[in-house]
Amino acid sequence: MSTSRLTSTFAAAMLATAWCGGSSAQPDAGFDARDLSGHWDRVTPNESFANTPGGVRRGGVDQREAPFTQAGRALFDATLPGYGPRRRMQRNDPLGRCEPMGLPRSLNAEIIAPHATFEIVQAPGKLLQFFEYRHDWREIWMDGRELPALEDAYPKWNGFSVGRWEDDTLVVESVGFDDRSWLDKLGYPHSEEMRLEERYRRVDADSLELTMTVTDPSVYSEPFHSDRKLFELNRGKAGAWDEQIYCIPAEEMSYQDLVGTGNRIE
Amino acid sequence: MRQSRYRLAMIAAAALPGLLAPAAAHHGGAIEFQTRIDGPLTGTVTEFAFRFPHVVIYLDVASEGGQKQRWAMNTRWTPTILRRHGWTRHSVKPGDTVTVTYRPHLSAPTVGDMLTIAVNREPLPLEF
Repeated sequence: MSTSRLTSTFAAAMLATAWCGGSSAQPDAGFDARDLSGHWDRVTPNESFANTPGGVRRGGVDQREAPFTQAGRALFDATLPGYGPRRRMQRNDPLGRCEPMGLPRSLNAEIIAPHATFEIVQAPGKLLQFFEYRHDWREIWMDGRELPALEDAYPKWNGFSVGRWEDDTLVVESVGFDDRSWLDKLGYPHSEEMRLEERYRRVDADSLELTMTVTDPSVYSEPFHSDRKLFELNRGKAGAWDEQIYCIPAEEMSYQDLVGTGNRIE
Repeated sequence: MRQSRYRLAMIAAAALPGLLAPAAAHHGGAIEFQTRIDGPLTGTVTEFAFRFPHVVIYLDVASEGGQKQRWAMNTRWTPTILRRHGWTRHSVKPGDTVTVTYRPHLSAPTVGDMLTIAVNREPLPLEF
C-alpha cells in the first residue's frame, strides 16, 4: 500500500473517530475491553523502557541492569545519552538529530505531560497508533496476516506489526526494525533482529496497561522485559489535537547551540 | 497592586533557592545549568522564540560600561505547556522590559535557565 493511501486511510480513521465522538464523554463502567480507541496519557512515572538504573524507582522494586551479551554491552557503551547515570553534554542520541524515535521508544511516552501520550484508532483489519510527540504513527495489522521472516523484513523505524486478541489482552508482535533507534532515552540499544512483543490490557474503563518484551539474542542474553506502564484515558481530548510536535532540524540545532549540548555524529 | 505582585514574585524568587530542582526536559536540563540562582536581571526583549523544543527569550541587557549584552533566557517548557498555563505567543514582545531570575549556564556567561519572569513588571507563571 502506498504511503499516500495509508496516510489517507489514517486521516479518514481519525476523522471517523472525531465524528463518532471517539471515546464517550462520560466514564462508563460497562466498557468494552476490546475497544482501545482514544487518547491515552502515561501516568506511571518511568520514562525509560524498563526498571533499569536511571529509570524511576518505585514500589520498592529494585532496579536491574539489562541482560546484556558482550556485544550488547559494547553497543550500550557506545551510546551517549543525555539522561540517567550516563548523561553527558556531548551526546549521540538519535533524537537530537531529529531522527525518528522508532519503537519501542515511542511507546515509553518519555517526555513530560501533556506530551506523554498516544492515540489509538481502531479501523477494520488494523489498528492505528499515533504518537503526538514527533508526530509519528504506526499500523498494527489485525486481519490475520503473518509476520514476515526476519530475513525478509525490510528494516523500518517502527517495524512491521501484527496483533491478535488473547482473551481481552491485545498482543502485538513486531519485527523488521532499523537498528539506529534506541529502546529509550537511557541509550539501551537493539539490533535489526529485535523482536518486540507488546501486551495491552484495558484494566478498567480509564486505564490501559502496557508491558513489552524485547527478544534480541545478539544484544540481550534473555528476553528483556519492560516495567508495567499505565496510561489513562483522556476523555477531554477526544478528537482534538491542538499541537503538532515535529522535530525541525534548524530549530533543534539552534537550541543545542544555545545550551551547548552536542548531538552531532562524533 | 502591580507593584506588590512584582515585589511578591521577586521575594518568592529569592526564597526559592534550594527548593527548585532542575526539571527533566527534552534536553536533559539538569546538566547544562548550574544549581545556583542569579538575578534579578533586567533587560529589553529583542526576540520571543515561542517554539519547540523549548521557549527562549532573547534580551539586551545594559552592562556597567553602557554596552548592550545579548542574553538568552531558556525555559524548561514547550509552547504547549506554557499555553496551558496562560501564556500566548504574544505574552512577550520585542521592546518589553523583563526581569528574570535564572540558573546560569555552566560555560556560556550570557545564557540562563529562567525560573521567574516579570514582563513590564507583571509576573508570568513559570513553575508548575
